[in-house]
Amino acid sequence: MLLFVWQYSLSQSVTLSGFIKESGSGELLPGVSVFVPGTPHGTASNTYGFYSLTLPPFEDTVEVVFSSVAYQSQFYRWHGRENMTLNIFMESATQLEEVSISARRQTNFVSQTPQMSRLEVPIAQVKKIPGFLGEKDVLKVLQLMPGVQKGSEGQSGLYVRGGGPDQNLVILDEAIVYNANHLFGFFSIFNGDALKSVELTKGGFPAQFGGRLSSVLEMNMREGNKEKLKGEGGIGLVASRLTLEGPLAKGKSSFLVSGRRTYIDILAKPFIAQQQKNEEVKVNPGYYFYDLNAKVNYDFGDKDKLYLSGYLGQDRFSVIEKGERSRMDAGLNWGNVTATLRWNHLFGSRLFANTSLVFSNFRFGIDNYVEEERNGGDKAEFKLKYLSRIRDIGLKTDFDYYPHPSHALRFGVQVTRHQFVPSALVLTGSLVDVPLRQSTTPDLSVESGIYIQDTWQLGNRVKINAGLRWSLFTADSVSYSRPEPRFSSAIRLANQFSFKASYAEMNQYVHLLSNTGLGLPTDLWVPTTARVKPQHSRQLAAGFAKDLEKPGLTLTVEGYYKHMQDILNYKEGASFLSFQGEGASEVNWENSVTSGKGWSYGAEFLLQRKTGKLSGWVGYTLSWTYWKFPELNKGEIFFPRYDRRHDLSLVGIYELSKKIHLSAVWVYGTGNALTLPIATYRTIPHMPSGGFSVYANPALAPFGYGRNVSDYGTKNSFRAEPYHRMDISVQFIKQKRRYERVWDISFYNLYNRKNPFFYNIENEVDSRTNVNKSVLKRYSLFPIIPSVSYGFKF
Amino acid sequence: MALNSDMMRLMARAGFLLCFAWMIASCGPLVETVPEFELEHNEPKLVIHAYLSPHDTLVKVYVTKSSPVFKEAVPRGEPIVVSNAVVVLADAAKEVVLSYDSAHLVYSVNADEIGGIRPGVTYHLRVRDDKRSVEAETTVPPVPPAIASYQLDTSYTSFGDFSGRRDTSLTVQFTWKDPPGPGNYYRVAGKALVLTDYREADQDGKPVIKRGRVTTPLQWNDTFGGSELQSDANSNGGVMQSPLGRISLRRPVFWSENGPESGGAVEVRSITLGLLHTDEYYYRYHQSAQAHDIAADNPFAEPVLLYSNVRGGLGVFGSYNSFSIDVKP
Repeated sequence: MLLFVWQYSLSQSVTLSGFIKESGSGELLPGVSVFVPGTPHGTASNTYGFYSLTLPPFEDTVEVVFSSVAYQSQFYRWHGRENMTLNIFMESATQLEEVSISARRQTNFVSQTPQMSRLEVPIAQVKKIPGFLGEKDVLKVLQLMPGVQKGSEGQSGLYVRGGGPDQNLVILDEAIVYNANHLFGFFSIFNGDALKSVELTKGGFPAQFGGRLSSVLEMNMREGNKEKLKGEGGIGLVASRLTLEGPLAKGKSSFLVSGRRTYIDILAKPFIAQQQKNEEVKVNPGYYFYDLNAKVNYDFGDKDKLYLSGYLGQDRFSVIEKGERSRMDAGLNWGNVTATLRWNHLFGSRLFANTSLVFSNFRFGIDNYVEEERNGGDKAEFKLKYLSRIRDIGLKTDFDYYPHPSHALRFGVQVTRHQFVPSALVLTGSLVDVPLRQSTTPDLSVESGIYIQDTWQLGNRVKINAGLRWSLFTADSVSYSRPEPRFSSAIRLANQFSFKASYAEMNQYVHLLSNTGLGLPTDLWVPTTARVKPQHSRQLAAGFAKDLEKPGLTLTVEGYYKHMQDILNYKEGASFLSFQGEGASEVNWENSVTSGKGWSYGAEFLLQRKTGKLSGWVGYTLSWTYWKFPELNKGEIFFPRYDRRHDLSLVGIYELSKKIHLSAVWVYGTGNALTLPIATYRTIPHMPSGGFSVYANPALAPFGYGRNVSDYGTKNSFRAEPYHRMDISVQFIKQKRRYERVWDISFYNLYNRKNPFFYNIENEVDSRTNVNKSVLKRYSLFPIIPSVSYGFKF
Repeated sequence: MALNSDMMRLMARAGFLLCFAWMIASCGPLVETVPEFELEHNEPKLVIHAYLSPHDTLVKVYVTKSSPVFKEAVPRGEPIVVSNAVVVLADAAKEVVLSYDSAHLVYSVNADEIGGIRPGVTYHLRVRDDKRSVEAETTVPPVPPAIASYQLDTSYTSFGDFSGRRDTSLTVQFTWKDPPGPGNYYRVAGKALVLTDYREADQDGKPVIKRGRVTTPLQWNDTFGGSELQSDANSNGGVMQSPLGRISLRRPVFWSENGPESGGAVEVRSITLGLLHTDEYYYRYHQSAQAHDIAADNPFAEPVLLYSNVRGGLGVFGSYNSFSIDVKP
């Protein structure tokens, strides 16, 4: 087959290729459709804006269309006598009148690509959707899409088709981001101002991606304006941000720097001081986060391009407590660093290569120091240092090859070396009973993958994408090697209406141990070992896609079934610090985990309009997720916390005028599955060496050291009340002489719904009967929260 | 444990700051009682606790019941003993009814009546009261392997007492060889006979300090890595090791009108080290109870579903066989 394709490519056919850029900024545009109307021939620009369209020989001329959301389509009449390089500049549609956009074909049709289960949200739309405390968050917008769910209130973690937040491959400019959370998960680390594109794939994964079970979230940073210096910034209640971009060498090289920092610590300081004026012990808490994105690139001509990009983000929470004879300093800090060096090279008009050198580091630390003065003048100390870290260095090369009008090949290889320090604790000082010094020597492992895939146009109606990825993982004394077949297809049933089906197998060699359900940094990344097997998933999805050209609507309906093997969870009662061991002389996280299987199925419905005066979407998901772990819930099947039967999102953006934009979001979701006690009783443990009784009543002495314990029935058998919420936002935009400014006023939880964050059973004396009874208390997190922010752009 | 409480303090501070952020944002009650919340089919269950051992002359079965939330008044921190149950213990050949002992709040029978508790024999337990009935089985494990080696040591406590004196503690650790084949479960045990000062009321009710012998259980350091309860799942047929057991030699402190007064030195006279070969139910129940205790103090941990092998009820019907040696320090 390959040989045939190769011979074909040498003998016949002509190729039109080049780069697609944004007019005015020179920004390279990925995902632009390039096609010949009325024929099955078409392609799309890759991540680096490169396209290559190979056509069979033709007489006369053909019309080639370049089209993308939010850009005016370009048309080119091609004579096609020989191969040709054509760079295209796309004009932003926002500068055009509404009429002229819809008059011409302007979207890349979902029904034409075999790729399914892919979600795309234009960054411009993200910036118009109401944000929590005025902070626009890409991940929270993705939570509004079908098949993607949020976890707890306000959290930015993504739960895709029954998978956990650790099963998402989050990549920013090719670098894996291990912890995408700021402020304990209430904000994500991704700064919309620095991003060019955001794409989430839930199933039917292309072969170039691997390493996670449930989704691929691919984000690319903008390169920066190649023509002139531009800036963008904002001041919000929580944080301020500033982005600068511009040419370094005009038309050749550009840069982009984008930063963000919170200032709640600075604002809160005087209030905290005031509150504690008369307190003996002064407590001084502080919290901040910042992040910084930077990118530079150099264009060596049509053949070679070089990009260097990086991300640096840090959260720090600290408390200083000062008493007369004591002092405590405590801190939590965590952050990601990523860096990517990329080199694009073009081998002729049909073969494109990208080679990336990638570095990624996530670190979480706790430090705690306590000093107490004792009677004898002794100083007693307690020192704790805790570290959890993962550090990757990787090299990957990907090739895009367009040999034939009906074939587009992609192949590549990827090697990553992981360094894990899952959990290292050092305890010293005279207040420590048993000093502890765990080694911080990292566990080394190598994860690699090799893949090939072909997108094949079979006649007029069928397009398939078949691929195979082979993944390899080696650590210490173990090695796993697994094939991952991938397949997706689209069959055109009618004009712009197609049936799609896909199958994908995925393996995951790094695991996140989490039991808070929050995006806390305390979640540990751990590697696959001899005892802990790789996670594996198989997913089957099928559905229909329909493009409605006139109103610019896209409708997709999909069903999926996903089976997950060897997924990992903490044992009951274990957590990131209370490791339970058995005869091991040192703490080993492997003793605290247990593996099992899970399966999820459901149906998803999405009606989306990406541009226009009224845009937005309606998303609905009906799904079921089950888990079965031999060591959890007595070995019986149970619903994981985020099993959600119904999930509905309505998102609307209405451009009332050029100066006023309105937007609203309404979400509804079935409550989380939780474990709550149904009864209490007392244990009577065996005491082989004798001991004390906890009971004052002498008759109960033989009942010994009994504890009050809860009977939870079965795990997660309690359903929280449904979650629903409405947010609205209005933006006032004004074009000043030198810049544009935006005032954004928004309300989170407009009708003040008291959504459950967690439940607790508490005792209360009934005022009528005077009986002490247990009652269920619902704790909510966020009532209606108004916010205002100011943004500018020049 | 110190670690968890420190973490909790830290997280509480984090919560404080977050709360502060919300306070700026708005006000209003964020905690509400969920009205008229009732769980269906939530009736009290029978809770069984019984541990059979070939060394016992009296077979004892504790029968209590659970107290459903929302329905009944909150119990007073004591077990609710069921006194009207019918408790039947049977092996393959014979069954005996245990009678209720109202003085000790337990159902008991002389072990001889069922021919003694014998290793390798499976015993069935049936318990019913006027509303419900439960059942369970246990097979008594064989005699555990001998304690192969032990090591005694002394260590300094890391900080001083009220007078700044640093006391010592005696530590002990032992090993045994796990027999081949899986499915062996163990619990380590140990106690020390010590000579120490203690306070007692004299004839006139006045406190006097006396010196005498006291038996105290060893404190097992199971915070990191070690555990009193062990299975051979990861060391099948190998040498197994107890966690570090500790006897504090800290001088007792007595409070009087003159302030704190330190007692005399603590002398260890003898140590008894024990190894229990338990059945899986005994092991899993105690392990989950231990995990439950740890999780109860830990805001991060998931709730622990206490293990039970009692069909239709709660608690455990387990068994063990034991071996012990006396060691002179």
